[in-house]
Amino acid sequence: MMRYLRTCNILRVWRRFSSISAESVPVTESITNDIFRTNESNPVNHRVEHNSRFYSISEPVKKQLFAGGGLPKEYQSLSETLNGLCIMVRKPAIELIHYLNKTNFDAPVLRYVLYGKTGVGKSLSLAHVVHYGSSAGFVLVHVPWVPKWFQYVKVATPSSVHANKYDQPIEAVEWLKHFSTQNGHLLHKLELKTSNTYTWSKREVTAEGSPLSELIDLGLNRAKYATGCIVALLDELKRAASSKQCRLLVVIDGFNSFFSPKSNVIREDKSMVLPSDFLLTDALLSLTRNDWNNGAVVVSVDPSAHPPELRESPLPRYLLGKTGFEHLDPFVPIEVQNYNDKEFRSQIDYYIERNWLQQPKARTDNGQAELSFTSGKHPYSLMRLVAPY
Amino acid sequence: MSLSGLLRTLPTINAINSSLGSLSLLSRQPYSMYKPFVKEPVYNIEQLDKLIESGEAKKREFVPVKAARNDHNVSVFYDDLTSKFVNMVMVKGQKELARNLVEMGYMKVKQIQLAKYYEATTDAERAEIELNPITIFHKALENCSPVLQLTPIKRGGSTYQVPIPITENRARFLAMKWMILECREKERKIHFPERLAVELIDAFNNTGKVVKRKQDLHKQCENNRAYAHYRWG
Repeated sequence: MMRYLRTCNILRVWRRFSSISAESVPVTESITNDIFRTNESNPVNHRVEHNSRFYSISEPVKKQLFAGGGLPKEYQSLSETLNGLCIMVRKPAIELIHYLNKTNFDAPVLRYVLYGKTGVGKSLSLAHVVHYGSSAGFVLVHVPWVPKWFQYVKVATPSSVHANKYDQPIEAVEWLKHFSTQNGHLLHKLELKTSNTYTWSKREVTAEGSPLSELIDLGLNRAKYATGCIVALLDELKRAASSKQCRLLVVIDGFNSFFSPKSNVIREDKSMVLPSDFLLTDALLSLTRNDWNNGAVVVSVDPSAHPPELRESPLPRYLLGKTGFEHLDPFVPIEVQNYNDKEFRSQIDYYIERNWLQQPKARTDNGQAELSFTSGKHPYSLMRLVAPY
Repeated sequence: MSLSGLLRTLPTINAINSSLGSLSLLSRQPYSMYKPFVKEPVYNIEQLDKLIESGEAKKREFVPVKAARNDHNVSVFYDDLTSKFVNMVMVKGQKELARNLVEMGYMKVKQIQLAKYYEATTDAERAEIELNPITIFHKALENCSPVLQLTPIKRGGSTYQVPIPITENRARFLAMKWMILECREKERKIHFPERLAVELIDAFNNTGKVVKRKQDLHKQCENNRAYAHYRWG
């Protein structure tokens, strides 16, 4: 085994909300013995040269960022079988990282929309961006999978904050837990404070100037006020970002579900509660508007986030509908495509090296040609095809 | 020398009659709609190339060939035994479900073995762990195949269970049948693929309920070897 010596050390400068672009930080050596892997485990340094290579995410980072969701279920169980979470560095993520590095944080936030067929790699690209955001010092507002809030609601109660809207107490508590795990250490460091007084009931009041962690704790302990806490929290974060106290990265998977015409909640008079009738929808739509700065919004639209009868097209205009499109317009669309030849080879090599693809015939040219043809180089189909062999 | 040892030395019926050896499992159907001279189709591309090279292909140019079966294909992953097993798992013609169940079973086999593999610390330990689900399946079936079977023969008013030799096809059928029945046993809280994976790995290591059933059959045959001559009256 040859070992490559480091030619330069990285200077990790804590870039505290200045406009120094992250691209001034030198890139580490990324040569490894496997062509399909890279040693560069910091996504801030990922560049075009790392395309189609796998980089590994350590267990503690995975627990911190993705314990509340964010990785597709099958991919997560596969990564546990293969003894380590590795994500392929692909063009959409590199493009996003490049844009986020070059963002002018004084201008209003830019919205980026990832789109593509189901199973093509949008959620994993978003996971890569979440890891980047965490490494680059952003405060993360990460919604792992929006349809979970509308298609599988456990309990929906009329809101205590807003008369005509509905709360989702259980989902709200879950999300607050996820938020505090992802950003706990950062919030503690930043010491953000509330700028308003929030009266929850006669005895429960969150005074002006109290730390945001108090707000989060209230939500975690009192499910009744959890949704209201989230609304207040997101409002405060938006204000804090605009006043340069923190830098915010909003990452939402399955954004088109906010504009879906269905949910599983039915009122007593048998009428359906639409996603637009929930308080959380309002909170997140307010956050994804471009009326604030010092942050970025990365969103994905997926046909599988809509009910089965509305999955004709993977394109943003169809999935978002008129209201959704007008809400997000103007946005930067980024298409996630099937694997190209290099990525496909890399994926197969990874499966072989990890002892997942066992059949000896699959390692031959014929075998690889067959896999390429039958899967159409579609990432999810390839994963399912390779599973029994 | 034991009875089973003696019977094992005799050639099996299939071995005598089979024309293309391991290529086709169903070489001599007794009630086939085809005349005896109609050839089995060869799907495997490597074997086709060999036939062309050796000149056999020329001889088969004008010989009629049986119709292609739906589930047979030239895929690199095609395995005869797996295809047969899927057919036996199938109920009410739901082939896709049966295939998915067996494929999930193979995936679970890989998961179980890989967990052991990544826990192992030395290279020697790792070399011993078999990871290929198809290899495990073949060896498991081999370990579960009986060498003798019992047949009821009536002599003088009472029926005796007489040990007789078993054909390759019948042995393979019994192994698969017992495996499937074992996986369908009990409360059904654990689904078929998980049970199949565990049973296959057990049988691969020559343990487990299916191997025990085969050994019980062998024991019965051993006990009844006094009646072996009833086979010939």
